[in-house]
Amino acid sequence: MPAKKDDRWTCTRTEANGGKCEAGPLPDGSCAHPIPPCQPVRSLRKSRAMYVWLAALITAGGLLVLLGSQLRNSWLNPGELTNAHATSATKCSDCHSATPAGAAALVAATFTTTRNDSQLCLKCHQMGDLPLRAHGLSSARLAESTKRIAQPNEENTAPALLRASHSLALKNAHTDNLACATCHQEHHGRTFDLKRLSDAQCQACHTTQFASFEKGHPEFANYPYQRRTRIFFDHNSHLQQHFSEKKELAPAGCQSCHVAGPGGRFMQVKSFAASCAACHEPQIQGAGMTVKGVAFFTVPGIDAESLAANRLSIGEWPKFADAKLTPFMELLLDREPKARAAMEKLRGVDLLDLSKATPDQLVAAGEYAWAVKTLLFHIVVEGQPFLLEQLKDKVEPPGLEVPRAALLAAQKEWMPNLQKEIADYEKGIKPPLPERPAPTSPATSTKTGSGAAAKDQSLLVGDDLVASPAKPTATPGGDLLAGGNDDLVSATPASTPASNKSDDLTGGDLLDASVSSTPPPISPGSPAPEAIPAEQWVSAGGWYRPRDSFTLFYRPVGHADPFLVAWLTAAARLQSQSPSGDAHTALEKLSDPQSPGLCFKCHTTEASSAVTTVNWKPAQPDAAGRPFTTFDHSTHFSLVGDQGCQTCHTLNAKSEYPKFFTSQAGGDTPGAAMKFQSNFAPISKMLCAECHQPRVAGDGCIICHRYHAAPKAGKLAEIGTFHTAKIGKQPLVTEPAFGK
Amino acid sequence: MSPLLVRRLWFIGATLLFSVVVLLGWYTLRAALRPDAIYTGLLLLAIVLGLALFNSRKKLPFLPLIRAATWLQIHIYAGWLCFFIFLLHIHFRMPSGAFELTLALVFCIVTLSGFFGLFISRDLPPRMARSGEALLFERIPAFRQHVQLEVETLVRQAEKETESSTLGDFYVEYLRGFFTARPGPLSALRRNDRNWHALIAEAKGLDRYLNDKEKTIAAEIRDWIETKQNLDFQDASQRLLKLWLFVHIPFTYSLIILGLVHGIVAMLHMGRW
Repeated sequence: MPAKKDDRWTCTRTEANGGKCEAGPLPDGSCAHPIPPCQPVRSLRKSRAMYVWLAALITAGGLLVLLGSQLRNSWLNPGELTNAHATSATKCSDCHSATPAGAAALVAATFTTTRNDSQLCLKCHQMGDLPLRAHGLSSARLAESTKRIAQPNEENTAPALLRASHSLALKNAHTDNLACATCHQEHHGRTFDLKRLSDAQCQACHTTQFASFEKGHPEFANYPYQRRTRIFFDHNSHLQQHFSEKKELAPAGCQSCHVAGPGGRFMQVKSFAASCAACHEPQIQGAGMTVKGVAFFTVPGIDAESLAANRLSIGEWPKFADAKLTPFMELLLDREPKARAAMEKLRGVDLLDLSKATPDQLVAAGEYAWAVKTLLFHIVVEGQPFLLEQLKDKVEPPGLEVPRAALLAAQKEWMPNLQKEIADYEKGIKPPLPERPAPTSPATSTKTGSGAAAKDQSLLVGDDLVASPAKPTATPGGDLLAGGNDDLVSATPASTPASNKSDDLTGGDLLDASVSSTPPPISPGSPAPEAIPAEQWVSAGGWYRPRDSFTLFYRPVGHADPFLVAWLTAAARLQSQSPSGDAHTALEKLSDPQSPGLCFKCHTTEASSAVTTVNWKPAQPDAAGRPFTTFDHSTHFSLVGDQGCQTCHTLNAKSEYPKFFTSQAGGDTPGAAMKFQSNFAPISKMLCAECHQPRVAGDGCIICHRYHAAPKAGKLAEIGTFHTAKIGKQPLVTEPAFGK
Repeated sequence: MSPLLVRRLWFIGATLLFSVVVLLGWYTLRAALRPDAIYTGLLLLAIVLGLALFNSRKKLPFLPLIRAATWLQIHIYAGWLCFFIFLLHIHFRMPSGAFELTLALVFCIVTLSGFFGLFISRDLPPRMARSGEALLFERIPAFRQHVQLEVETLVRQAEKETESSTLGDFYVEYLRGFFTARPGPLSALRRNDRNWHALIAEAKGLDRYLNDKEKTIAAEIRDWIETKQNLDFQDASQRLLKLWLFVHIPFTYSLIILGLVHGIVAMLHMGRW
C-alpha cells in the first residue's frame, strides 16, 4: 500500500518485489500497479467432482420426482404387455403382488424368495387343482410317469450344457411349486409369444434328456395303442373275411366307421347304427339263435321227493321244473344272506337228484327252495319297490320294467298258493309234507307234483295240453285267492288248458273277470287258428313265456336294449362288491358272448380297484382332459398316400388281438385292459421323424407336447371375479424358494 | 516377447476366459429356467461398482492395495467384460421400457466414453511425446499469452524497423486469430493439420514481399507459429485426456443409482427366483 509522507505519496514496494516503481502512487494514493487479488482457478479434477455430484443429484432427484408422480408406473413399465393381457391388466397390481411400504420392508421384500404373484395369474387362468406343480399333476402321478418313461439314455445325446442345466434346475420337481413366471415372461411387446419355450428349457427338469426328436427322444412305447379297446372289434377278421363275405354291406373305407373327434386327436367310432347295424342288428334280434330271449325268472328244478323223504317240506313246487337258476335271480338271491349261504353249500350239487346229498345239503336245498319262493312272492306282491330296495341304486329304471301281469299269471300257474305258503312260512308254519302216492302202473301213473298243488297243475299233466278244467282246491290254511284283496287276476282259477290251446304269453286273459270254464263251441269243419310261438310273437322285443315252460323270458328289442343294459350294468356293479360270490357268477353268465342280445360279443367289462363297469361305448375323449401329447388327425390327412390311414396305422396281420379279451388274458380283472396287442402295429418314432425335422415340420417339444396336462387346465375363470377379488382375503399358496 | 505384449496376452486371455464362463453360465441358467437376467444384472452391478472404485483408489495412493497401474489394467479389461455381460443381460435386444431404455443409454454412454478414453489414452501420449516439448497443462494459458506477446512484439519491431506494414497486415489478417485462439479439445484427434500447414505456406509465401530484415523476422514468426501449434496440440490433448472423464465418471454414478433402483424394481416384480 502507498504511504503518504509530507503530502506526497510514495511507493512502498519492497526490494524483493521489485523495489519502488517508476510510476509511483496515483494522486489519490492508490497503487499504480495494483496486484490483483488471488483468484484460485478451480482445477479440472475439482470441476469434475462437482459435475459428479451434480449428475448424482440430478439422477436421484429425477428419480424421486418420477417415482413420486403419476407417471411412475408408465415410466417403470419395462415393456408393453401382450395383446391378451393388454386390456385385462390395467395396473401393476393386477399381476404383481403389492409392494410393501417402508424402506426396510422394501429391502426385505426385494430379497425374499417367496412370491405370491402366481396367485394373481390363477385368478383368470384355471390350471387344475395343482396349478403350481410341474405339469399340474400330483407328486405321485409325476413319480409314476417318471418311473415309467425314464429310461437310460445310453447314447447320451444330450449336450453337456443341457445336462449341466439339469443340475441347476428345480431339484425336487415332483414336490416343489413352480411360479408361472418361470416360463411365462411378460413385458416383451404386443406380439410376444408367452408360451415360447426352447427344447432345452423343456428338458431342464426331466431325468431323460436328449439332443433332438430324432436323436435321443425316447422311442414310442406301443403308441397309440396303450390299452385294450373298449369294444371288441377285430379289424383283421373283418377286413380279411367278413367284409369280403358281405360286400354289399361292407364299409367303403376307414372313414366310413371313423370320424375325427373334437380337436382331431381321436378318430372316434361312429354310432352303431352308422357302422355296425347293417350286419349285427339282425343277430342281436336273434337271427340264427335257438333261444332268442334271456331267461329272467324261472322255477328251478329241485328233487322235491328226496326232500320230502327227509321230512323237508317246500310246499308247492312244479314237478317238471328242471331249469337252472337264472342270473337275474342269482343276483337277487345273493342279496339275502340265508339264500346266499344256502347256494354256497349247494355248489356242485345236482339239485335234481338229492338222493346222495348230505343232511346239510338237504337242509340247504330246502332253504334254497323257500328262498326262491320268497323271492317270487316279494316280486309278485311288492313289485318294483322290492326290486329297488334289493338292488339299491345299482340298477337303472329300465331294469325295473318287469311285467306285472305276466308274473302274476305265472305265479298263479306255478304256485297258486304261494302267498299263503309264504305267510305261513314266515310265521314258522311249514306246509305238510306231500302224501306218498300209492304205487301205480307206469301206464296209469301220472306225473304229479307234491301235495294238493299237483291237482291244480292241469297244464303239467303228461303231454295233455288240453286237460279237464281245473277245480279250485282248498289248500291248508285257507284259500287266499278266494275273493282276496290282492288278487290281481280273476277270482276263478287260471284259464283252463282247454282254453289255452297255444302258448300263453301272459298266463291267461286277465282282463276278463269271468272266464268261462268251458271252451266256446267250435263250428265243426273249421280248425281254430293257433297263435305263433311266443318267441316269435315278440319278435320286436318283449316278455314271453313259452309253452310248458316255468321260465319267463325277455327278448331284447334290439341294440342297446334298455332292460338288458340296466341289468348288465347292475350285475357289474354288484360283482364289484362280491367278486367271488354269486354276483360274479351271474355276471359271468350274463356276459356270455352268445347269450341273447349278444351284448358281450362286442362289449367288454373292465374292473378297477373299486368297481366293475361295462364298456357300452367306445373310447370317448375326455372333454376336460389334457393329455401330455397333442395330435390332430385332420392336419395330417393331406399327408396320407394311396394307403390312406394305413400310411401310419399299419395292419398287423399276425396280431393276437382276440386273445387279450379272454379270461386267460385276465378278463375283467384290474389292469387286464392294459395288456393288449392292437390289430395295428404301433407307430414308431421314426415315422413321425420323417417329417418332424427342424427344417421341415419342426421338431420342437411344444409341437407335440403340452405342459399343462391337468384336467380343465387352460380355461379362463369367470371374468367378473377378477377385479373384485382381493388377495388378502383368500388363503394363498405361497411358493417355496426355487431350487430348495 | 515384450513385457507389454505378455501383459496384454494375460489380460486378454483372462477376459476371454471369464467371458466364455459367463456365456456358458448364462446359457445354462436360461436352459434351467432360472431368471438369468437377475444373475447377470447382479454381476453387472457388482462389476460396475468395482470399476467405480478405481476413482477412489487413485485418491488413496497410500493404501497398500494393488498398484494403480495394475488396477487400471483390470479396470480396462473388466470394462470389456462388463459390456459383454450387458449384452447378455438385455438378451441382445433393445430394451423397451422408458426406465430401462434410459438405463441402457446411460450404460452405453459410460461404456462408449470408456472406450474413447482408452483409445485416446493410447493414442495421444505418444503423439504428444513426439510433437515437442511437454508442457504443464496449468501453465499452457500463460505460455499461450507469452507466445502471443512475443509474436506481437516481433511484428511491431518489424514495422518499426522496416517501416513496412506487410508483416503487420499479415499478422492481423492471418495470425492474430491463430495466436489468440484456443483450439477445441477434439482437434487433438486430427491426424493432419491442414490449417496449420496452410498457415505456414502462407507465411512462406509472404517472403517474396519482404526484405531481408523482414524475412528474418518472418522466420522467427514461423518458429512461433510452430511453437503455438505444439502448444495448441498439447493443450487440446491434455484437455481431451481430462475432459473425457467429465462424461465417463459422472455418468458412472448416474448409472450406479439407476442400476440400483432398476435392480430393486426388477427383483420386486420378477415373480420367481
